[in-house]
Amino acid sequence: MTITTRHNMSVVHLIVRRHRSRQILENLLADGVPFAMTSNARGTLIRDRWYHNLLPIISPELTQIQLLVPDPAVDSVMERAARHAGLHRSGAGSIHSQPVDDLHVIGDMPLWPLSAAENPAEDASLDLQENLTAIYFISQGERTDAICRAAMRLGSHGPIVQYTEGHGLRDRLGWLRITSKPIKEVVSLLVENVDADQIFEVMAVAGQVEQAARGLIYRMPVSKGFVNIDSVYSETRHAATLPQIIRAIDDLKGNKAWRERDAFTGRTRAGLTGRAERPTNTQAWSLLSVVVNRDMTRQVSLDLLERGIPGASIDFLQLHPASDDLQHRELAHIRCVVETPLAVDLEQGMLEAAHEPMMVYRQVVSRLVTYTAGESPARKRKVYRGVAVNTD
Amino acid sequence: MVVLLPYLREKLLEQVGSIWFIVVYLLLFQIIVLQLPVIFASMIATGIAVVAIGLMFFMEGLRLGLMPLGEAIGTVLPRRSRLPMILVFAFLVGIGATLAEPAIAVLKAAGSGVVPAEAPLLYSLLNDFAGQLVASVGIGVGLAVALGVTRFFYGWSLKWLILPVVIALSALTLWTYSNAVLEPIIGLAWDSGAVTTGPVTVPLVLALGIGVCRIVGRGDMSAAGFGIVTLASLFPIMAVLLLGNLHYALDDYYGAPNYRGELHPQAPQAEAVEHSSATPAAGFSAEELALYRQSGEVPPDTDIRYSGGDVRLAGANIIHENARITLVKRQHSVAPASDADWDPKNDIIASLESAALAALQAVIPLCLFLFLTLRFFLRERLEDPMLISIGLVFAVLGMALFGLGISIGLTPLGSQLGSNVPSAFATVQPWGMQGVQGPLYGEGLGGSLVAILFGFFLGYGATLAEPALNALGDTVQKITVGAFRKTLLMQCVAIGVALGIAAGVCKIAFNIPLVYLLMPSYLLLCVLTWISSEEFVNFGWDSAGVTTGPITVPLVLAMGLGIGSNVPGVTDGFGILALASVGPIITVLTVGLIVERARQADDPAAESNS
Repeated sequence: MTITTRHNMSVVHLIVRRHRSRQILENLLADGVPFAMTSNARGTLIRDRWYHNLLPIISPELTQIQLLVPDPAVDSVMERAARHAGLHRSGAGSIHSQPVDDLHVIGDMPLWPLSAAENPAEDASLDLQENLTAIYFISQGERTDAICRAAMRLGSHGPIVQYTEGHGLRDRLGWLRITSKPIKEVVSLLVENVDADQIFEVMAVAGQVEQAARGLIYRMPVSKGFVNIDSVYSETRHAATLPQIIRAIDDLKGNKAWRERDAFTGRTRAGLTGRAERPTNTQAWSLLSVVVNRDMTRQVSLDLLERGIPGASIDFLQLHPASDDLQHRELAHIRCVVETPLAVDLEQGMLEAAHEPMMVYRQVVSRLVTYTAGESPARKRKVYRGVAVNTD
Repeated sequence: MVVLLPYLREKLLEQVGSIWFIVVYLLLFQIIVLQLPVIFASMIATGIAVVAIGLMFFMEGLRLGLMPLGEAIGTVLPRRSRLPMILVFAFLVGIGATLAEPAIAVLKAAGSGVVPAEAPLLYSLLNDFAGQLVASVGIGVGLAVALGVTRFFYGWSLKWLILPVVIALSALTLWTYSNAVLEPIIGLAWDSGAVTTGPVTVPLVLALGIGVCRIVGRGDMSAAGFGIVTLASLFPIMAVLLLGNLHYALDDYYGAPNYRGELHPQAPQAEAVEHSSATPAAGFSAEELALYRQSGEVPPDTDIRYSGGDVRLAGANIIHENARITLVKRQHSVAPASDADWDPKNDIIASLESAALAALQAVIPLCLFLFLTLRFFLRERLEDPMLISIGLVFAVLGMALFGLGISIGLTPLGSQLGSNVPSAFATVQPWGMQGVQGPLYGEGLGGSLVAILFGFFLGYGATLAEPALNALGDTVQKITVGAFRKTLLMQCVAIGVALGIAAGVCKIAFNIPLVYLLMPSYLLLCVLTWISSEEFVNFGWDSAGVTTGPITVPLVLAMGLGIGSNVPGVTDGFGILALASVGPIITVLTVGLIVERARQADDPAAESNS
């Protein structure tokens, strides 16, 4: 058994319409991308006319394509992906990359070859933003709509929703685990740093994250990204989406002061002050990702639970390799947000346990809010109505 | 307990949410519109409570046991064996599914009143060739499952499988319709397609398909895993029609030259009489007859009716000669025949026994077959055997309670209403009552409209309560990650069934030939299927296959027979079910076209995904 470790890696997430995903994926694989992992998602649309509520509108079906790319190749890969996905077109999707601390691979798992010389980005037509933040809310399905609406009222794009399987308390219940619904929803969105705090807080309030068993919300830094996702249902096609138009006006005016900032009237409702650019304890929390074959899911998640994680969410991914060396198969992406020291221990522990094949990596979580039953004296916390708000 | 109680409460409320509409609606209709009390009220109330509890267990059983088992085997199969082996397995699952559903028993029960002299071929199929009938339905379903699975491997479009099959079926049906001997088997054939897809097999086959698609699927189709149910509803129709034609060609059906069985001309007569005695007016007793003979005086409160004879004008008088004179006792009011709250003829223990037996038969053999295949043939362990076992126990328990609840709750309520609804437009003796009532809303259009409206909402409510459709809705929502909501699908299907049933009631009330309603609908259906997107073709056709389930069928049949027996010239309730299957496909596909239009409006590439 050998463990291959890579430094300076990134995860690139490409989100596109489901019915175009296969073509885009094939083009990517033909264009030098060695492998990709896909999962299904749905978009969110708000209806801007009253009679739209009477129409049977279904949310757009999306596919998320994930690539684990070495940092030097990221720009070129993102450029190619954006070109194949036609991201410049109105409402075509989004792309962003997130840094990964170290990537460890054991056994028969795909790995981006280092030898490949990466071309620099040939086409700079796609203007990648470097001021984005990703927000994730893992919730029980019932609150999802409220969370999405709250975020969109503040000008976010229509959030992407994915299903995830919750493990944790459920697996400690024995046969009584029949009582717990395993499917949770992950609401994810990309927002500009300047809006991130406000949107984060309204989402936390809307999702009632301060109560027990309502899930958790966290933020992660994004290196680069571009969002072009539809948010409003309309009967006519437009050349640009509303966020695109707003961004263009921002550019023309040179500031964002013209935007209606009063939308966030609920700012003080939960006592979350909504001050922008607050210093956050960047290293306190980490997202640990363990990717294994789907049939090993339960074994590995139980192992993680024994090692002290409070819970994990599991997404199922399809692995699409470009060559025939690897099998087209189903993977399980086990994610847990834990304190960084524990994450480091767990990472080490998983490498020692050596479930094979397996991929392990850590990413930084910049802010986390969830319900915690007891107060831990070790950290300084702000508590509002039982919410542990982890500020500095 | 702390964990269990909220769970039970939530699940029970979920089921109450799905059945309350049909129950409240039926009760209000009986009490307010028809102005009649509910007979055996406490038995019906108990039955409905049992239905809710049974559904709760059954749906949990599907979620925990049946569907994970089906999906597990679906994912292992393509990895561990080759296509021919998989097709053999799929074929066997299809046959097993046919045996699991109590379909054939239902068909036999429905055909028990068939008079051999009137429909010799149908009679022979149900009695002399019952084994062949079961076998052909089984082979039909088996082939359908095998073809459905092959489709996943090669990514064939469901559209191009459905259209030729439907066109062939229509041609065969028209040919059969044109022949007097063959014609009666049309009802049997189309019904056998509907009843083979029941609450156990549909979720299992769906889960199997989804499992297979997870491994071999193309990934860009959200309807992956669907379509088997559709084929499994269409192929048995073809099989039964072909079987009928074969025996017609061989001339070995009842009364034909090569017939080998015994001729027993009078046998089913007694039953027919019993059937027609469902709505006689309460009248004079033997004592009153004797009194009339003695005195010759017409008793008070009597209507005198004259029929037959010759009428002529003699001088200035109209003379009615040789007429038949009937004395009819005039009824002032209706009253329940008995005060019992519980039907004395209904033995709860016997009902429970038969329901439990049916549940065991539906769940255990098929699951055992799947489990043994997985364990010994594919050599794979179940991921979570405890959960699946709990699920299977829940499924059997739920199915048994559900069956019991239907037989003591919903069916008596439905048959009461079914036979009372005609009082809206005709004079009938209400079910379980003495005296006659009606027409409450006039004999003409008004009364018929009430009956048609009744049929509409009956179909709507019953569909929302169907467990197989609920399972299908959950699956659709799950595989589209919530983009296609369960409620949207359920509402579309329910409205479709409602329209279909309303059309069926029209057919009976105005005595329209079925072909006039079915053929245009199927033509429309073919056009819609042609222009719809693959995804909606899958959802629409599959949901049509599951609508005719254990709640809808008894209610609709009771209503059809009730209305049919009060309209001259109509004897059977057939046709309503066939129309109820067409309706939802049309509505789902129509909604699909609207959605598609919206999607093209906001899709950058403006490519339809068909």
